[in-house]
Amino acid sequence: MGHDVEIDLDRGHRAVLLEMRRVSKQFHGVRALQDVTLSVRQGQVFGIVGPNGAGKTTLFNIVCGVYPPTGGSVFFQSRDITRLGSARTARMGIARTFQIVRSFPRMTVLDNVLVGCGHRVYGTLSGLVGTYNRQSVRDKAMDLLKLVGLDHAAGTLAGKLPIGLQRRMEVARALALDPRLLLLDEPCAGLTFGESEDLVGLVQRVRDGGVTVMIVEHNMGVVMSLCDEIAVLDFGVKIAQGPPLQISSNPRVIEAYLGKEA
Amino acid sequence: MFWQQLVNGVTMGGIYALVTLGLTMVYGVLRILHISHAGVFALGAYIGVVALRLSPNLVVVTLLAMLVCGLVGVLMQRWLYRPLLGSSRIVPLIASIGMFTLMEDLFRLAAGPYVLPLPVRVPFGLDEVTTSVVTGNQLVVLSSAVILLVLAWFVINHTRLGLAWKATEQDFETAAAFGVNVDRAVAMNFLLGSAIAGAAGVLVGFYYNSVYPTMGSVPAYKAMAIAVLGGLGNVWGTVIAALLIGIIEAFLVISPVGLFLPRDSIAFVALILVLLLRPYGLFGRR
Ligand SMILES: Nc1ncnc2c1ncn2[C@@H]1O[C@H](COP(=O)(O)OP(=O)(O)OP(=O)(O)O)[C@@H](O)[C@H]1O
Ligand SMILES: [Mg+2]
Repeated sequence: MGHDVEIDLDRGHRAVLLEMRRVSKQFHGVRALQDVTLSVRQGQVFGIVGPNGAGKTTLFNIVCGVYPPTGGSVFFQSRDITRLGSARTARMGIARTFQIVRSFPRMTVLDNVLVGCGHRVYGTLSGLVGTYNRQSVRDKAMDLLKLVGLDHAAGTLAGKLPIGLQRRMEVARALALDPRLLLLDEPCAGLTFGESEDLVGLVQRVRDGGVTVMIVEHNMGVVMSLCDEIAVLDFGVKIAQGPPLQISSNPRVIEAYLGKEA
Repeated sequence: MFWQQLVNGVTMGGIYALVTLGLTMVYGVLRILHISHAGVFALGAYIGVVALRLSPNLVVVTLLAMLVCGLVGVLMQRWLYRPLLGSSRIVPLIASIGMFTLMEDLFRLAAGPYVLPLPVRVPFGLDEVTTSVVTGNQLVVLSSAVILLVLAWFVINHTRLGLAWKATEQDFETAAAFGVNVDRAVAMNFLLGSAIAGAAGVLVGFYYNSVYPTMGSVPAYKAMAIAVLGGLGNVWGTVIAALLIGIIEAFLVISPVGLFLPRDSIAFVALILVLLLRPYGLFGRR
């Protein structure tokens, strides 16, 4: 992989937060990921781009423990999380939003966020007796809703919100986990230009708050302005990695995109 | 007469609510018709009979029955339902019916086909309080039912566990993505529902002073009818439906209709009407 250049960014010397080593995933013969190796450093916004079906969502699902990879391993804060399962990775501080919105539709927006607030106790005894209506927890949830501009909709059933607002609610719910790593899967899909810009601002604030972000996004403007580093997937293979400018001028990347989308 | 029948009805309704609660809770989270829940109910009564040797105190007996039944509920979730989770919904239903039959036969083998008494002692002499409207025994059953229903209400609506159940019911994968240990949440659901059914078993055994192998048969089907009436998975609809059925039954037996329509058939007549007119239950939407 000649174009796979590791660049020492200004954040480059920071500790590695997430490391994937030769991760592969097959679904009944479909090779969704092949030998993907990458590491994400603390405080980065790390972009994953690639044509449809390239394996981006699959990569996120493996990081979150939705399913284990068929080969390779994943380390988070130097701990092997390859087979931990999603509840455990969530409690370790990996939060996500979904490409296709997955709110709890028959719960209020506030309750959706409160589910995320409970992560520290769901596996424990205090999860049984702890009440979630405690004021401090509700305040935290309301603050998060304010952050994404949804505090006015706290009492609405999530399923009744338009998709754009549900996406924002998903961001608030993910932040409720106090994540160290936040995975955003096409957060701008279906958003207007103005809404996308708001989201970029929000991600920057989250990053400035010390959260490392991985983002899958087709909107190249968003990717170029947000990301410190970008990895490109094509047919499950990582074909390039580097800072935005380098990626946008990389001939293999251009070929992969023109070959698919033009 | 009117008030007496009303109290009779509410008492039975309270018991129906306790039995049905676990059924509807399990359906709410797993979408399984947990028929053998009624076996857990009968088991509660038998545990009560055994517990009498330790202490005749109703509270002690009930707590013991709740403990054992709760654990049995968890074992059923682990060993009966969890292995069948991926299969079509008819499979766990058939397994559940089989389990129920097995339990009834086990009771018969272990304790014989007899009607056993359950002479517990009630604290504070609550069962001695008798007025023209309500008997002491009814007071015991009613107050126990209220305590248990409030407990369930609190857990369901005010604890993280309740919130985790709601999340699991709507989308278990997403619930897991936010830290909910789905497997444990489901186990806790069985624990609470089964413990309450066990308590209901003791209360019924005490109320009629009889415990017998097939005492779960009628509740099995009646609870199913009530759960559908209340809208499966809808806890408060279930409690109201249970009270309604209890009250209608109480008034039916003293009315002329009661001469040709047996009491235990009311729930099913109501069920048929509801399925024809309001298939999502009395309080269901959609
Ligand atoms: N659960 C699954 N079962 C079978 N095949 C799957 C599954 N998930 C993904 N795939 C396949 O794996 C490949 C990669 O899918 P993935 O969803 O990761 O792509 P993506 O890069 O997220 O695409 P998009 O941009 O369309 O979201 C596709 O060929 C897809 O059909
Ligand atoms: Mg995708």
